[in-house]
Formats: sequence, structure tokens, C-alpha cells
Amino acid sequence: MTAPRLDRGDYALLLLSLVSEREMYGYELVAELRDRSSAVIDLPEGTVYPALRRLERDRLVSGHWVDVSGGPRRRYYALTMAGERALADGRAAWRRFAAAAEGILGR
Amino acid sequence: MTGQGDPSVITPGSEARLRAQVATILTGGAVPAHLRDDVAEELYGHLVERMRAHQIGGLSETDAVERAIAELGTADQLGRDFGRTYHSQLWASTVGVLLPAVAPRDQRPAVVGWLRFTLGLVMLIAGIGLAFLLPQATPVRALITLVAEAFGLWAIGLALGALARGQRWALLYAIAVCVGLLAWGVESVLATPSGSITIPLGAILAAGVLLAVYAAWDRLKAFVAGSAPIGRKMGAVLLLSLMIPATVPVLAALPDPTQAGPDDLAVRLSMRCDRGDVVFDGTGNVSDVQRVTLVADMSWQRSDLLPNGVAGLFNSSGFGDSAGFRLLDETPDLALPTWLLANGDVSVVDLATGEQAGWFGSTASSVALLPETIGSFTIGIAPTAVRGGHTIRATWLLTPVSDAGAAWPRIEVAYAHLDRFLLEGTVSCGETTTAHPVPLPTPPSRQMPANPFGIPYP
Repeated sequence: MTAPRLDRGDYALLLLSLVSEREMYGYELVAELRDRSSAVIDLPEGTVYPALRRLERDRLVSGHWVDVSGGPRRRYYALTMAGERALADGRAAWRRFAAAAEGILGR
Repeated sequence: MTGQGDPSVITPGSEARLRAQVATILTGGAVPAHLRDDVAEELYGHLVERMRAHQIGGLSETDAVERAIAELGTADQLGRDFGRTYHSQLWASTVGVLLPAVAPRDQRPAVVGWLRFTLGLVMLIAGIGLAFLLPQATPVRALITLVAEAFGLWAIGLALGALARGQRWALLYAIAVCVGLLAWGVESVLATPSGSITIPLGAILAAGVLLAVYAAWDRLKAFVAGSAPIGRKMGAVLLLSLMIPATVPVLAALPDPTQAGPDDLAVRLSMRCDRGDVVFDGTGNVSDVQRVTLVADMSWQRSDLLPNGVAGLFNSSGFGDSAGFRLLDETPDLALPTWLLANGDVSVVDLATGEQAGWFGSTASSVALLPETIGSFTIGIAPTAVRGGHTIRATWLLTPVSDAGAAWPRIEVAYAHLDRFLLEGTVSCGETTTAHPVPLPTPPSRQMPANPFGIPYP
């Protein structure tokens, strides 16, 4: 059996959840995902950027640049109103799914 | 290891390496042009921050750079991810799979340039050939040719771009094109009639490029090492893109349903033989002359749609049908036939409108289909006169060359529609017959597309 894997939708939901706490930029999001999942979620770091751009394209997050002294600028992402709704829906759906899976696997 | 260095300072070499990697990821059109700088800056910022973290963790600058690049993910995969973000599913699953860059430009072996040159040349020549051929092709053949060649050109164009980006499939594709070019050239040389010479420039170029590929094979393998498999489906599509354009000559030889065939034309022949008055141009009225009135009624159920392609709308020169007849039972070595046209003229009219539909003598290419002995009595049919539901009547009046009683002739009439089909029928005095399709007098020349760069000399 292969280990369960995140699909693109799940990954987007995790990103939405993280940026709902505070504005974050890509590198920071990668680090948060790794740390909070105890490195279980350890995708190639670059995959966060197409995912963020998809969320931005779909107006679920909005990005803006912030200058940083002594280094390249950072693009921070914040949750939009639509992103909040999508996150709420996604969380509910995920919890239903997780409970269902747990009901079967938890025996 | 080159030493740890100051993490807050990035050397020009490292900066160039990181920016080259970002450029590699974004090469291939996955990110729209107006967003490319934006995304590039974001990716570069990530790499710099990651590199610095590794330096602080104890890695040398060089190692930190390479580790950061490796952790970001392959350029191929990231290119595809961006492709899925900004393009349709179709684009992402085709171009997005075929085009992502995997190798920096400075690692490109020189022979890649020659492979790309060959692909570009094939594309150019195929494009020029298409521009010449399409306007002259009949509608369905033009459509088939356009679709097949466009498919091939699309794949060559993608290979041209993907080869520069280090895609393995594009390398194999380019090699296959060179092999095909070489085989084509060899075939052209072998098919050249004795006494003629063909110099297959394309094959010579392909052979040289293939030799260079062989010599640089290890470097080429390293150049494309980073590319991911494109999958069986895409591989099959690319294989088809190589094969389908080569089948165009075969497909083009199939009947075009928009064109009339022999079944759409009925040629009824009748011949009246009698004696009577004939008014000759030079001598005036002569009584009691043997006369043969030969009539051919050509009735079309339907006509061709654009028989000479779009080009035919603007230039009908050399087009049109031809008809003619010959006297049978003539002694072959006679210098002149025993019967001739009474006034060196023939009537060709549209029976429905009464308009002239042709003329004595034909300069259309269709005349080449008529047996040579018919030549002196040929008529040309105007291309515009061939219309569905219309009958064109040709009438020849013949009188004997000699005043002495001549034997009544048997006459064979032939009708050639463009360069496509030929009907023949034989008629005698008082008879009415119908012409029937016969094989073309000489087998049509093998319909091979022109060998790219093949220069035949007579």
C-alpha cells in the first residue's frame, strides 16, 4: 500500500488555512507546512507557488509585495472574503470525509 | 565545498545560477508573459532565502545553491504545475507536458543547434510547399492535406522549442525526422530514372547531423537527462504526427467526393451518313457529297466543386476538358486520313442555353489523355461550360478527301475530363452508342511529394 497523498484541492485547503491565520509568503508557508505536519507533508518546495497563483487567480487569496532590507522582496498572501467562504466549506467537507474515513479505519 | 562565506552576501556566480534556474522553469510559456517577471522574482526570492538557510546550517555557498535548487523541485514539474495554473486542461496536458524546460541554455551541445536547424528547414519547406499546393487542391484533398500537414508542423514546431529546453522526446523526434529525411533522399535517388540525377540535399544534411548526433551522444543524453517521460498517449500522438503527413500522398489519391467521376458523365455518340449539299469555305456549295455527321452529347449529372482549387477561380489557363475522334480502319501509313472536317470547324454548344461551350482545338492539359491519333480533330470544352444538368453537344461534319466513293468510316471518340478520367466509344453509320470509361493511356506518375531539397536534373 502506498501512503495517502494530498491532491491539489487538499493542498490548496491547507494553504488557505495557513493564510487565514495571518499573511504569509511562499517560503514561510513551505516552512509552516513542514513544521506543523512534522514533515509528513513535504512536497517539493516550488509546488507552493503554482498553488498560490491558482488561489490568487481564483480570487481566494490576494498577493502583494513587501520590500525586505538586504534581500529580495517577498510576496505576501492574504485570505479574501471568497477565500474565507471556500475555506469554511472546505473544512466542513474535509471533516466529514475524515470522520467517515476514521469511522472505517478507526475500528 | 568552497567555504561557508557570509550568508547575507550572494556572489554574482550564485545569483546567476539561481536566476538561470528560475529562467529554466519559466521557459516554455507556462506562465503568461505579463506575469513572468513577477513569478520569477518570487521564485528567486525563495531560492535566495533557502540558500541562506542552508549556509547558516553549515553548507558552502555552492552547495547551498544546489541544495536550494534541488528542494524547489524539478524545472520540468514546476513548469507543468504553472502550465496547469494558467492554461486550459488541454494545453496543460499537451503543450504543457511537451515544452517545459529542463536544461539551462549554456549546457546545450552544439549539435542541438543543427538538429533544430534541420527541423526548422523541414518546417519552412513544408510550409512553402503547403502554400503552393493548397490553393490548387480540390476541397476535400485540400482539407486532408491541411489537417495532416498542420498536425506535422505543430509537432515539429513544438519539437523545435522543446529541444532547446532539453526535452528527451524532442531529441528523439528530431532524430526521427533526420532518419526520415535520409530515407526519403535515398528513396528519391533510387527512384530517379536512368539518365537523370537527383541530388538529395536534405538527406545529405540529415546524414551529417545524424553523424554529429552519434559523436555527441553522451553530451546529448546528459542534456536531456532531466526531462520526465511524456507518457504513452502523448508519445502515440507524436508518432502519428510523424506518420500522418507522410500518408498525405496516399490520402490525396483517394477519390474526392466533391469531384465528379465517370459515373456523373454520359457521353452519347451518334453518326449519320448520307449524301447532300455541303457549303465549303473556299469553293462554296457542292452537291451530292458524301457526308458524315458525328454528334457527341456530353451530359453531366453534376460538376466538380472547385476542380482546380481556389487557384482555379483566378486562373483557368490550361484547364478544361478535351474531346476528339479518330477514324478506325485507316491504313496506318497514309499521310492523310480519307475523311476530313468539311470546313475545319466544329460546333460545340450547350443544348440548354445555346451558348458556345467550346472550340476547335484544345490547349488544355487534358488533351494529353487522348490517343495521339485523335489529335487533329480535338475540341476543347470551356471549364465553365461543364455544369450539372447540362448537355454539351459537339458536332463534326466530315467529307471524304477524294471524290471517288469513299468507304463509310467507323469512328472512335474519346472524352477526357481534366487529367482525371477518359471515356471512349466507337460508332458507325446510323448507330447511337455510349462511351465508357477506359484506363488512362499512361499510368499516372507516382504521386510522391517533392523531396525536400531534392533537385532533379533532366
